Amino acid sequence: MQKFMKVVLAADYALFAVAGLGLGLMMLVTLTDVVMRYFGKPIVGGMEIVCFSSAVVIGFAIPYTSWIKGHIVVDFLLEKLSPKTVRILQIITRCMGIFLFVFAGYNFVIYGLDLIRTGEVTAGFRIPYYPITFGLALSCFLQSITLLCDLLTTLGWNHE
Amino acid sequence: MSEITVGIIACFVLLLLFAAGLELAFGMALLGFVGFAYLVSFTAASNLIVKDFFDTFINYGFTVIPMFVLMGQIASHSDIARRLYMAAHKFVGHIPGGLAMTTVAGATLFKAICGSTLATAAAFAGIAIPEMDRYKYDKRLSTGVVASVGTLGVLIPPSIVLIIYAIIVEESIGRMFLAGIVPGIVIALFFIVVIYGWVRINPAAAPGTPPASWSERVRTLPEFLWVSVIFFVIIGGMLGGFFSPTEAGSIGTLAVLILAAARKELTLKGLVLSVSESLRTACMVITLIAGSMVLGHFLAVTEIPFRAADWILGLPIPPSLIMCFIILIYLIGGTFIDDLAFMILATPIFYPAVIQLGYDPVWFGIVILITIMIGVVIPPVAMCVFVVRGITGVPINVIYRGCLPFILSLVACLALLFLFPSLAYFLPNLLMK
Repeated sequence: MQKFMKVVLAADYALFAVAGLGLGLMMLVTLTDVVMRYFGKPIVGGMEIVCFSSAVVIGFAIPYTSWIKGHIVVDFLLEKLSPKTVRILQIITRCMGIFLFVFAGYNFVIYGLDLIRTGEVTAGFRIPYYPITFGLALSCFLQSITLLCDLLTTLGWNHE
Repeated sequence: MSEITVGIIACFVLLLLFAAGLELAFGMALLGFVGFAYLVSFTAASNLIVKDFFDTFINYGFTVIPMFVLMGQIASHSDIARRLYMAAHKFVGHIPGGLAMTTVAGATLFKAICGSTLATAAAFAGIAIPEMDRYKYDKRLSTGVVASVGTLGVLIPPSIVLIIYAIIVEESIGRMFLAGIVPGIVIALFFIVVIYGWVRINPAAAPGTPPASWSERVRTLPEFLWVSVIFFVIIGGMLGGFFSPTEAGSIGTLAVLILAAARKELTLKGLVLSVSESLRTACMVITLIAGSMVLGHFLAVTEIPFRAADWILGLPIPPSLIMCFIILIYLIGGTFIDDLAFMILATPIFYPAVIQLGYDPVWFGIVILITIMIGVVIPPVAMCVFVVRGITGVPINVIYRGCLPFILSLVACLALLFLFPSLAYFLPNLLMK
């Protein structure tokens, strides 16, 4: 079980690292665009690259942010409940999260297939939108696995 | 069941989900999806959740958030806060209560490049409290002032909360940045008045320190200069139409990075930590917005925001009293959920009513932000207080007691905004007409 969790953590961190690169790319493109605009040669479609990078930055950071408990949770009420009740609530909320992200991931795949069929591309660079939706689907599936790890930890299955 | 009944039940279920420990962003998305599926159709709800997440993540308007968060993180992982504190120390440290006033001055300047509330509280807890301990400052004053100055990050540009409010109500980010300046400075001055009053009543609470010479003071001036240059380039560039808010964030980040690197104050580890923390914060905030988008679409179908606006407008009480109730709701909601999350959740509901009552959107934003400032230092979820306790180990009740006079000064600033609303919008009106 620990091996499985290590693999999931490594995958989460790999996506998080890609998100970091996306942030760097966003900054680089934005700065280059400002400088080039000063010389009368702005990057045509620079905004599209920034938007695509933004989807990578936010979407790919979701699983690792979940792993490190970085999303906002109301926890002060849980502190007043018995450990058994907290455990039951955690099992229920983890299952809800897993359902949400499996469902979102599946629908991102459907949406991506629709985008391939319609051939939708950006106006400037004519970049297809579908890779982003498949990337977000991947992130959603990984997020649901991350929540599954959290559920297994709650159930006490993280020890060999 | 009518739409409005479904909407009201959904709001209660949402609170139950929050209380059960489901992440706020996921709770909003899940409930928005289920509610939309119930009222419209399952297929429409499936499309809604994907489109809302996709449109939020790929929206150019939101790219400003990671940029300014990164700028603040680099500033907090370098030595800029300490340098500003030491520079302000040379000027006001010698007067009774001077080190506490130095903390206010240093944090206000630091806010000009770091929009994070918690990062400021953490930075100054590590820098200012040991210095105040050295001169035997009253623990209530030293910890109270540090926890309270952290809140200035909500109001002074480039505040992340200001940016989020501007995006939610579709107001210009530059305009909101300008609107935060005067109330931010007024609050900083109020904090200094509180310290002055505290020391007048109890001189032993904050003894003076040996004065610095004028040559020492002059040598520290570049510390103020660099931060001021970065701040004015960001704000001026946006107002002058030279660059967009996202570009301003990138330029600010580069400037802070160069400043920290030139002084050899930012290690590779510090840079990696800055990027990592920025990704986490930006992801948390934007996922929260995406979740609220899904919920917002469901609530629009239930017509709750419009009904709420009609109900609020029909109340037989003066508009100012209605505003007081709205502030109270934000305060209570923010206290039990999370101030930022509650603002994202509640603003689309109250905003139409507030505008129909005749209040200025910029003024409303500043009032709500000051309410959030109060929220981050009052129990039970007082993040700034928790940060100071975590770093100093001072009992939490001591910090709360220390914060109390500063909280009263925040309330006084709110009252001032009711009496003189132009405090919020005269600067944007002056510079952006």
